Amino acid sequence: MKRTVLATLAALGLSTAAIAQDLTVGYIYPAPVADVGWAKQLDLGREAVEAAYGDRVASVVVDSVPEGPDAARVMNQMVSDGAKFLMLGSFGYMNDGIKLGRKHPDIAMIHASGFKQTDNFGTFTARNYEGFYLAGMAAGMKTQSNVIGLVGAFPIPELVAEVNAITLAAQSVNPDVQVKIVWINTWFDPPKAQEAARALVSQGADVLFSLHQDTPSVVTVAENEGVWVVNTGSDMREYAPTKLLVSVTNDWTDYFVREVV
Amino acid sequence: MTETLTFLLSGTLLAGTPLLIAALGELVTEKSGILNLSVEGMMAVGAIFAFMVVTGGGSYWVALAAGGMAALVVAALFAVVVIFTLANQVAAGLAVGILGLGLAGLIGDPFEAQTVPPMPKLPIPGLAGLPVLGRGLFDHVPVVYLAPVLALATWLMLTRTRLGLLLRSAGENPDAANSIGINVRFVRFCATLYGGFCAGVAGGFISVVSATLWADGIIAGRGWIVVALVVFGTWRAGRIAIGAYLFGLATLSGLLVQTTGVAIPSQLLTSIPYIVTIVAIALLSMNPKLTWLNAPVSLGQPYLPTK
Repeated sequence: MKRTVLATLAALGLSTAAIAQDLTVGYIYPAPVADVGWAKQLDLGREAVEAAYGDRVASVVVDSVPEGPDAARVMNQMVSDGAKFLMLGSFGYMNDGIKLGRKHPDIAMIHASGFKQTDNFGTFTARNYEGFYLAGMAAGMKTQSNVIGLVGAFPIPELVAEVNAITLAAQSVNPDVQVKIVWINTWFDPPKAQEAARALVSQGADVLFSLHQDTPSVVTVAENEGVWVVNTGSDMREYAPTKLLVSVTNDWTDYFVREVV
Repeated sequence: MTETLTFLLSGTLLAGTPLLIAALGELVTEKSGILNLSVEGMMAVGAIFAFMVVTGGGSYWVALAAGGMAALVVAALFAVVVIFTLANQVAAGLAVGILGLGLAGLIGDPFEAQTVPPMPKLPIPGLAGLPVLGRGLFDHVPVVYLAPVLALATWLMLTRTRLGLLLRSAGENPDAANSIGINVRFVRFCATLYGGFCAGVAGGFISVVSATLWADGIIAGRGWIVVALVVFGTWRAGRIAIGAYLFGLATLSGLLVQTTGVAIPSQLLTSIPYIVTIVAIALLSMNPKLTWLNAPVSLGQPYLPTK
């Protein structure tokens, strides 16, 4: 008990020291901040950080930053403008972030869903596969054609883990379930995501998963075609009022508030 | 199996329609001698204006027309710069295209990730009841049927009418056209506006008819496919129509093959339509008769009329 109290005090002492001076936090999102989607969930984290620390933190936000040279340029700009802490909101910012960290050992970065870390470059990710396991069970129980269709963005480790979780979960409740997946190989092409969704429906899928499609693309197809849909990111009930089975969402607010300290 | 075929047919028409409409507009523009590379931006502007009209309660037809008119304004800017101030068409086209994309994102910000109800379909009586073909080809929104009609009309206009002759002469040999009293710059100006209008309608089709949602970047490179299609179709309306539907079919087949679980890397499948386009253009270009017979000779060259 005593040790816990001491540890807490020490942690508090450290935090106060760290936030005594103003801190500029840079946020980079891969997509526009809309009412829903991945970028929106990250931006809710930024709002929580601002609410928690008030005037002591300043935020710089750039959204719709394509992965690649543009991202590197935005990061460099933020650091030269005085940002000491960066939140890199997309997988493809990883290598540029690590390079930046080597050049500027005094800054710290958190990066979404990557697989490389250094002293000042950390990875944050959720155990999304746990949420998807539950969603997969729901889908496995709900399907009547025994075909579940997945529209995936890119076959990166995180998404592959989710696909595996969905498959294992659906088969745990319904051994006959077959999972079909279409990778569209882009984070952002709503019409293509919809074509993929329709392709899956034509192949008998009666439960669709929208894996990291930031827009309600797949969700609207499901509503129009009358099949169930599971969404990633934000709650998209309003886009498929009768057909949204469940949404797997991320709440980053507490984590961002803790990390910025 | 029948479901798959129905999906392939209807999906191909849906994906090919906006490409075809925009490419036919670009064809007319290029036939007059103007190379407009801002199709991507014009489509984006058309997409957001059409979306705003439907969101505001307007009809789909009004929305498509509004999208066309908005893109026409962007095209007018490009036309003034390249026709009257003789700017380089490639550079100006790229610049205006980027401007259009940015403008669409800016205007569309309050509408980001919103949706609209789908446009009502118009099944063709009699034909829509056919097995497979009925639902695949004859159960669509009216715009889908109009696109091939537009291709036919464009072909007739270019090859069989005086108007087509005017356009082609401006693109082939503007000096000769000028010498017989044709106002080359006026012809080129109108052709560029028409191309912009078509691109806007195509963009509007994507946002309010096929995707039924607005998101910044929704055109996702289709404007560039359109520019490539005009070359792919060797500046002939019929071949452009075939190319547009082939491209739609190739994209869908890639997605469909994935659903069967065949062990081909998805990256390869998603790149097939682009590989097909490159290979086809390369093969066509090997036969100069095919390509350069129809390519406007003065394409991309600024024209200053001599007194």
